[in-house]
Amino acid sequence: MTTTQPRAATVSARESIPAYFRVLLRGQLSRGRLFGLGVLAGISVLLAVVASRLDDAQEATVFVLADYSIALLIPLATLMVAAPMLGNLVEDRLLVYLWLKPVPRWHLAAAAYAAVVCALLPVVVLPIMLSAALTGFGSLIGPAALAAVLGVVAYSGVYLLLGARFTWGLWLGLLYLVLWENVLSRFSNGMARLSIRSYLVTVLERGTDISIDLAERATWASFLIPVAIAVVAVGLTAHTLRTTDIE
Amino acid sequence: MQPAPTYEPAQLVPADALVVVDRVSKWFGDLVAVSDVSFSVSPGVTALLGPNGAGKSTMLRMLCGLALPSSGTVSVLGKRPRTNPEVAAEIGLAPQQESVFGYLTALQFVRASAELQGVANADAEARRVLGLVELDPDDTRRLPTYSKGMRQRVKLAQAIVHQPRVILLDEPLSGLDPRQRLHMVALFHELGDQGRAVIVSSHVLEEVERFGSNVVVISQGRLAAQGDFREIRALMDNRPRRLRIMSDQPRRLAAALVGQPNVSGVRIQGDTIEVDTSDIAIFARAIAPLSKQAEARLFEVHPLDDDLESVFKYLVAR
Amino acid sequence: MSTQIHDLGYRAYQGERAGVPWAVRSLAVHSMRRALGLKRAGKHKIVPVLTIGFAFLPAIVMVGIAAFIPTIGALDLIAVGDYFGYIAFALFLFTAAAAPGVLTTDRTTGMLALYLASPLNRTTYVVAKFIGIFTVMLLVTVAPMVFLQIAYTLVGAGPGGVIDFVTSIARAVLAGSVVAAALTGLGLFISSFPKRWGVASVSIVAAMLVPVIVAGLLTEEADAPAWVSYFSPPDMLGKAWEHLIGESVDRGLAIDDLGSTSVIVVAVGYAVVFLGLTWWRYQHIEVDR
Repeated sequence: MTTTQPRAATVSARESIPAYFRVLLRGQLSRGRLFGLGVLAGISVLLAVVASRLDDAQEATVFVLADYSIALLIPLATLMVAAPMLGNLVEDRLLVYLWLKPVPRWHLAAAAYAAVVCALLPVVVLPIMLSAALTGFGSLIGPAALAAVLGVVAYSGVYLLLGARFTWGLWLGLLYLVLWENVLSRFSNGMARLSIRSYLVTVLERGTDISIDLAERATWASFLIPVAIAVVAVGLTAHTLRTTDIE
Repeated sequence: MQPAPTYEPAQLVPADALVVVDRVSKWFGDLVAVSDVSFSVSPGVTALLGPNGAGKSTMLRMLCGLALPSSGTVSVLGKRPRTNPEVAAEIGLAPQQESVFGYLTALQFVRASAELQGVANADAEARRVLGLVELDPDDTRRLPTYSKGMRQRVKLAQAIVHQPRVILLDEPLSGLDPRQRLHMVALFHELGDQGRAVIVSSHVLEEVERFGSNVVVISQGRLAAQGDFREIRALMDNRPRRLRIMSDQPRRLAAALVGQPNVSGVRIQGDTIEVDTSDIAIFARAIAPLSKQAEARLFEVHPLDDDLESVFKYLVAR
Repeated sequence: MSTQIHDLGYRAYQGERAGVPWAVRSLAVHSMRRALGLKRAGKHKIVPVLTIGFAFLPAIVMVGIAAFIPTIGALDLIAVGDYFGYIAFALFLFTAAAAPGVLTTDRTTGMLALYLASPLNRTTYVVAKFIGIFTVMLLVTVAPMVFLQIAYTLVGAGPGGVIDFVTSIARAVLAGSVVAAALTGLGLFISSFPKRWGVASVSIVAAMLVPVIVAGLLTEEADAPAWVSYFSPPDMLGKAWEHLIGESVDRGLAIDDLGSTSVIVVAVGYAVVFLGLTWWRYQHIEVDR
């Protein structure tokens, strides 16, 4: 065996993040997951096709986008991809192979987040844009795409953190989606502020003149808060990787 | 029994120690997994021994920085592995768990490990170490299809691809056939001879004996002993040494032995005698004249509890 | 006392063997315990306790109101027929927690191979799992309604007369059993695919929420025919619940136009079909450990 060559103290982000990204993204492309995502996305397009044939097509399309694409497609798809990204590695005790490297922990968190977002954007944003385009109302495409991107950005951070931090991360994400976003956030404005969905539907509503339930956030907040949520969540994920014992 | 030496790391740590564990404890709630353990590891092969649940895996995890000690310090190459990620460049770990990445081939897995270690020519190095552990780097099968022994070898490959100075192997021989075990043991020796500290946690004591004689024995979370296991045996003066003697006159010789003050027990089994003696040195000098007096011929005088397994049993049975 | 040596080493069991029914019973009981988190650490009881609590909560609140506000009329209290709507989320979550926990873990831990090496075969294994989860589901589908009905009767807001009372209880048991059977079948079928229980849980919730929203959008916004609702299990179960209780309410929705018989048949059909699909799935699962 050859003599050890001296190496840099830690591996640079330019080398480690792509390496992590390739390993992590590959693990998300299972047949079952692609099938589930495809079904969810396909339903979005199907509903848009139906909406486009109605007399009040624009209003129907807005409801489809708000009550299905934003309320279900984005969070469910993100939950299926983001929570298991690091959560499965923890559960299977494989995280050690990625953690025990001369790499600052935030590289792994950033790469995991990037893998989630890259896996989701084509599966979520494109069908939503297509749904908006099928109705013939070009003005909907931009707001719908923006809402979808912000939704992927925010939910990915939250669910990535839950999966990394808690054994029951996926279940916690499910409870947040079902109980908080679909039930409790309707009770008060204060509770709605803690619902990512309310910011996304606000973005969608600003691009139309149709009133949408829960769309009561300030415009600037609707853009800033989802991004801020993602940044904080990824930071906390890195902190988790730094401080938690690894199996 | 000699009193336990007062531990002062500045005095007892060898200058060439790559790993230093100083009064380390680890508890999980009310469960104390490791309790006040101190030892150092120099280049070469060191066996980390202990019964199930002794704290070996917890100790290995702390040596890598995977777990933070509840008290005490772990140093690898002078730095704490938990708070200095750069130390990971000099640590290689083959963990005990069998789980593998379900969507990667062996080459993809080892190459990714090399890339994340910052190894130049990661692909070439991955191929080289896979060849070293007798795996085909061009095998397109995914890791879950591999046998247990093949997975063990893949884990070992990813642990050494970046040529670390400290290599930690948790049950590395599990699942390997006898020929593969011999090959791996030879590889461990080679790594140790290169100046690396190879720490092997294993239950396969007859193989561990082939690694060499340097052991660290942990029992119930505590350090039971460390050093050359033969020297450890010699220190156990509260346990008589047991020997087997073959003679043409076993009964006559046994009768003579019974009368010796340093002999605490004699058993006759056919034409062999098992003798327990409290002082092996005196016994060794006395057995020949005693045999001559008893007009008995000696065919064999063989120590029965001088091996690692016996030492291990004595240490963990306390 | 006579002198005897008892430790004779390993000996084959010579006693009576209870056979397959006992094996099915044992596995069903074990599945029930696992679904409720019994004989396990406290954290495994959180979701079952919370969801069962949610299922009883409206009933407890209504009974309290009826007991302490005597002037309140029966029309102001939650009707048993409406109860499904109040606890639907709790039912979905309980299904999503219980079913994956008893199926996916057997495949990932290798226990399925051990079960199939016993007197159980693939069919009896599925039957045992169904019985276990179905029994536990009755805690959230039947028990709250029976409690509500009994409590209403005690505070004077329930049915008058013994026959009416017994009939109402029987209807509650029937309605709850149909819903429990359908949810159990759906939960087991979906859980028979993924190996991770978390993925199965999300898939079950998705299988509940997506059809409801899609059917609602199509029938209420797109004026799709009412029969589209047949393809939404939660809608069918809720409506069948109302019909079986005998308190069907016309809310002006498309689903209210569907006949009670067809709704009940479809709801029962869901139970049969999903159980059958689970059986079919398990005939083809490769047991590799």
